[in-house]
Amino acid sequence: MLQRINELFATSNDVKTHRISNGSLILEVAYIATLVEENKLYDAIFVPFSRELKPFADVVRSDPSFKPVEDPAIWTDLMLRGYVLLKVEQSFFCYFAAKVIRNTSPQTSVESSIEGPQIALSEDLSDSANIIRARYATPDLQVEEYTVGYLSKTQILMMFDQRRADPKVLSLVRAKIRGIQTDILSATGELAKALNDNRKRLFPMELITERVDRVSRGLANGKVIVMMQGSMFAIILPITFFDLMVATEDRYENFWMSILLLSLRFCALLLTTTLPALYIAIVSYNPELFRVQLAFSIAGSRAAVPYPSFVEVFIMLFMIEMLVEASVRLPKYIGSTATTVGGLILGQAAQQAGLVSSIMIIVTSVMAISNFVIPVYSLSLSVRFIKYPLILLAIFFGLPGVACGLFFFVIYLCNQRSFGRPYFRLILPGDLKHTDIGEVNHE
Amino acid sequence: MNRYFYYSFVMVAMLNLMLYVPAVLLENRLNGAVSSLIVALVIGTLLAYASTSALSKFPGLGLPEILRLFLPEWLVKTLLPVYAFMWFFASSFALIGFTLLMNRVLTPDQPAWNLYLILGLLCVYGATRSALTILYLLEITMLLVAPLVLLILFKGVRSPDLSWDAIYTIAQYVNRFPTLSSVGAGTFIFTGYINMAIFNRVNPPNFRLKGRWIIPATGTLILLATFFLPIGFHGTMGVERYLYVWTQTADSMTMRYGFIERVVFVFLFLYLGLSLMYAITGWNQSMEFILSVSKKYKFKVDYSIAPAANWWVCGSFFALSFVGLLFLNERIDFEIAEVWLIVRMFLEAATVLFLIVVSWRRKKPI
Repeated sequence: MLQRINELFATSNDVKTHRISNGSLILEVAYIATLVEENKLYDAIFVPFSRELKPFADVVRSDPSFKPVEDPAIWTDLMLRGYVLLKVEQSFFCYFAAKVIRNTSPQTSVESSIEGPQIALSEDLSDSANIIRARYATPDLQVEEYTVGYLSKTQILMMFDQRRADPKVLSLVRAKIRGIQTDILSATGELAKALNDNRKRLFPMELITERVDRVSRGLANGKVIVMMQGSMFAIILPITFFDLMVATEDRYENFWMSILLLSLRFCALLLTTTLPALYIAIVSYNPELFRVQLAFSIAGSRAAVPYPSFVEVFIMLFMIEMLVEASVRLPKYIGSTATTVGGLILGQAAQQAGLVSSIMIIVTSVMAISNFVIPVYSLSLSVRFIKYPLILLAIFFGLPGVACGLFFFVIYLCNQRSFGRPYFRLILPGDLKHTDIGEVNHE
Repeated sequence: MNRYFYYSFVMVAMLNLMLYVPAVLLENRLNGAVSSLIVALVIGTLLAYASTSALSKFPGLGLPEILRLFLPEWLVKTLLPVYAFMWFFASSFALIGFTLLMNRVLTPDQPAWNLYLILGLLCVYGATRSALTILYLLEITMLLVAPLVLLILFKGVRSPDLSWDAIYTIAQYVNRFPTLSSVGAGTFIFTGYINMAIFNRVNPPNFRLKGRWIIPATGTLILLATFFLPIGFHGTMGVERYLYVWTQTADSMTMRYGFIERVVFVFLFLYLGLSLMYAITGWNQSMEFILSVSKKYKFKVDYSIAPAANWWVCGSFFALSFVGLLFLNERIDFEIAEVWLIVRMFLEAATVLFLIVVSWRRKKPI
């Protein structure tokens, strides 16, 4: 066995192969030292073997944590995943002794909530599964395991409630996971992209979350959860657009306040996408849309600006996008300084220098703030993009162009299907009793 | 499915408030438009009831499939293009009419084709989608638009500028004999049911339409508002003077505390949504009629990537209507509309009659 393993692996120092004997028995051991926890190894193998209170061959056969290995072809796979290979009396066993470096019981940081659960999923799959099982304790929870990535050999876990999940969605997801062809899979976003047919889609078709309550709620609603080793985010699918607009906290807090916040988010969505485009369309094409006083004050604030409205919009958008991007990439301590410098000082100075109008400063900041209101990061990224086509339409066609652009996005959303399910559709509670449209089978 | 039928019905009813229907009705206001309203209400409701109950006998089948069940193939092959033309004409005509109107009111310094370019292309994109997508879209659009249109109508009724005397005066002409063109215009309000010709394909087998009282109720409300509100605002004789009487009517209202003071802008954008929606459903159904001419065509109710045939058909719709736009103006438009409204009424009545007969035959064991 040892010779074969030495042939299979490249000459690396951390592949350890030992042949040891305690007088009555010869044991061959192979493992990758950097992947396993050697304490475990001593406790489980070397110490019992050398003391031999009980014949070691019997220990191996009776202890269920030693699994027999039949097929020599999977040796390398096992070793790469942190198993120790053993050869005892002509039969082979493996023992799991992996040491996984991970963040310990992390706090939610991307989707924070005030009174909701503060613990997030872990970067280790077994910990995540543990957390989910603890919160969703039914025997119906089914777990399936896959391995993806030719080089990274990333473990993927798919969880669902077998009574509630839609079998059509399940078979689709299984087929998608099996069909993934990639060398390295390193983040959940990458996995989500691979699960999707259309890589150029505008809106996220799945929900990526770190929140445990979202996951367990999703399981109860018949969603499928896909998680991968090494990332503390889970994918929930299929989803509707409205799932992306709901924060988990909406369920925990006062009903009326939640309704208010939800409608606030939709207003923010509308504002952040249309505001710059509307500014161009109204200032350059139809100033008579607003009441006279308002139209005058907009025109007055633009009096010092020497170029057309769209140049002004592009200057400000360029600045704000750079600011957002810079504050994401910078270390936390410098980030706040950058925003202060950029936001306060530059904005003020640009307006006083007559480069942009003061109304434009308001438009830009409202747009940026509204964007942060959207609770799911992937959606807020999509929304950050879709204002640009609207701006182009506003430049060439004015107000009807903006309206048509918005209508286009609505058609586009209605046309999307998230894993075979409608993405942008109102589901009313009364629907459950009746048969739905389109449930016709023509053979 | 219930609600989707009513969305389509309300969409058509509301859309016609804007376009040629009020012009035709108001032209005849002194000779029989009022009594025509009553006749149109009865005929429209009857047709809607008849067609919905007839179609419910054929769940999952559209009009092309039903025709194929009962008529010889050559007749089907001649009828389907006629229907296709009917739907294409109605929706393109509405879209062109609305483009001219919007161009006149909102962007008078640009040529109309500039506006039509973007509206038409958007409709091509929308019409190539699957039936389910279009129904979802219809729902979203109607939920956003309908409450606001109703609000504007309500605002109009409650407006202090409305002269109820003028309305009463015209209402007294109820004893005149109804005219064909006003009945044709009046029944157009009720014509939303014809969208079921194709959308009946998505109906599940045990589908029954509930709450059909909504049809006469909404129809009456909209018919009365269409006809009487402009009279109330502009006077018994003054209404004649306007080309687009409803734009002027909306412009007669103001929102005193709003960002946007003139109601007409809100109204225009609401109707932009409605016209686009109407053109999308119309083109989509026309497209389905054309594709169904081939007997081998298998329709699908849902697909996420539109087949190439869809793009070709809708693209040619766009090209045709674009050429149409270059030749049409408001005067010709209006004359065509008057004839069209009458022809359309008879075609629809014939179709509904056919469906009724056929559904009776279906009940008997064959």
